[in-house]
Amino acid sequence: MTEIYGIHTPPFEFIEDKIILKVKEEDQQMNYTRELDDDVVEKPVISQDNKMTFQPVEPLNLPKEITSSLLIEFENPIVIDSGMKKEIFATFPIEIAVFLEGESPEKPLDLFTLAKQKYTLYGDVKTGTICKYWSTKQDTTIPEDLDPLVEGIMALTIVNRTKEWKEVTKVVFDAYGMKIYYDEEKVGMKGALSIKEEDLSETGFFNKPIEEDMIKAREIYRKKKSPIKGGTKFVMESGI
Amino acid sequence: MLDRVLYGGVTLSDLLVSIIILFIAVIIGKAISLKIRHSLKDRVSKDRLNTISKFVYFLFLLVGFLIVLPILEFRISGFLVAGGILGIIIGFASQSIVTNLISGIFLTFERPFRVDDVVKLGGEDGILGVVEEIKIVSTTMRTFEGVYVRVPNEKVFTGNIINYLENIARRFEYDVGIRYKDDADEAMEIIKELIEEHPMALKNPEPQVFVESLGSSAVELKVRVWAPSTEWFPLRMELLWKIKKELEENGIQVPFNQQEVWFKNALHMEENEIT
Repeated sequence: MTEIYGIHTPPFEFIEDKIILKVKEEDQQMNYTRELDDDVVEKPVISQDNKMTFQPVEPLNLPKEITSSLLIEFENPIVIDSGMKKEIFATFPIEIAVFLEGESPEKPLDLFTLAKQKYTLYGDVKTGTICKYWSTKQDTTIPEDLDPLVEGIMALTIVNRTKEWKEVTKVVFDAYGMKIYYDEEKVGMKGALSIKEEDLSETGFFNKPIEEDMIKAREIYRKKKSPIKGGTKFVMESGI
Repeated sequence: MLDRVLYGGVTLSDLLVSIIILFIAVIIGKAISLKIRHSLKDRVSKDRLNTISKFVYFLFLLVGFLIVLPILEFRISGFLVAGGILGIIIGFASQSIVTNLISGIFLTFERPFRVDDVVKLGGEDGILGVVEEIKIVSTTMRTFEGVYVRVPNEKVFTGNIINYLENIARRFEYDVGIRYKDDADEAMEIIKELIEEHPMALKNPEPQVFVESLGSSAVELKVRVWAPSTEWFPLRMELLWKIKKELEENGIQVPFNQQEVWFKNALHMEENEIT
């Protein structure tokens, strides 16, 4: 059970392994403190509502916002036959955002992550895309025992519209379109990969939770226009 | 007073109307180009936005002039004749300006770099800096020492241009020497782990660590790492020192140059003679 996600009023304290979060109320202001490894953030906050929301957000902000794309690589390639449609479960990295309740709902007060951070290149150096990188196992059922502070569950629908079987080693998403849902125990989202032709596949997200009664997370990039042409769908032209 | 004739049939009121029309054209042109800048700033690159907004502004100015000229009884045909003669005179007098102008137009179409790109103009020994503005006759840059540099477009267009941000990823490499008695496999493993741990060292294209040569004083390792072009320099600065420290913490040292000297005749020295 994770007590971190949701709306909190001070005093609030969360300590687990590497992370220490404290929100205290002193002299009609909140004092927010976060410690993660050697990184310490202290912010006195003057707010009318004196409430803070902790929730998972798109993994694009840390260590630096340099891309809008997320590449998920499968540890074992998935083979899908011609004309088949199948939902599999994989994982994706999480960043945790702290929001003030009230004005500027998409502007986080703090951002941190416990997930491994790595970037990769999809395609070639001239026309390719720098992507946030994540390696995952795949499963036919919702994976258990995941740490919801580190990774979320992605229900990925794969459709092979070509006339031959295909091997899927990776999927690339325009993460500006991520629709993350969460509850106390898990974080999840629904995505899709449509294999259309040789070297032409398309990915996107569904605005639905993986299970009922999950809460929709705020989207930091909802209003920001994606640098990728075609909105929040990503066209994979350099292989899957 | 407003009916006072200035020349031909042009009165003072005509002149005032013309000034007002031009003023309105400037105001509308500025307002619309500003509006375009605001509405397109997230969708269009900075340099293209500059060109579009300037074009719109000058278009309004031109429309203003075209309205005003008949009011002031200027004949466009007369302008063309006068302009032709004037053009020849100006053409001879300002050859370099025209060359820069044409180079600027070609640069706009070819687009070898954009605003905010890190470029070196004039080849290897040229000017290195960040492009601030691509104007019609010159390109302005800010060097990393913070110096403002204006380069005529003719020099930009005819010289070599190295654009460090044109491709999205860039590679750098290190030569790391270790002692012969150190385990090269262990050293390579340590370096690979350090690269893997760093977020900005790209997973793909895969980094390479291998024994490059057996040198006179050290086993020379070659380390090749790809990084996003924007993060290339910070990563290159950071990683080398980390490699050195990590190798030393694991008992692997980067040796000094060594030379073994053999004497043809053995030196007969007592131990207590050595000072």
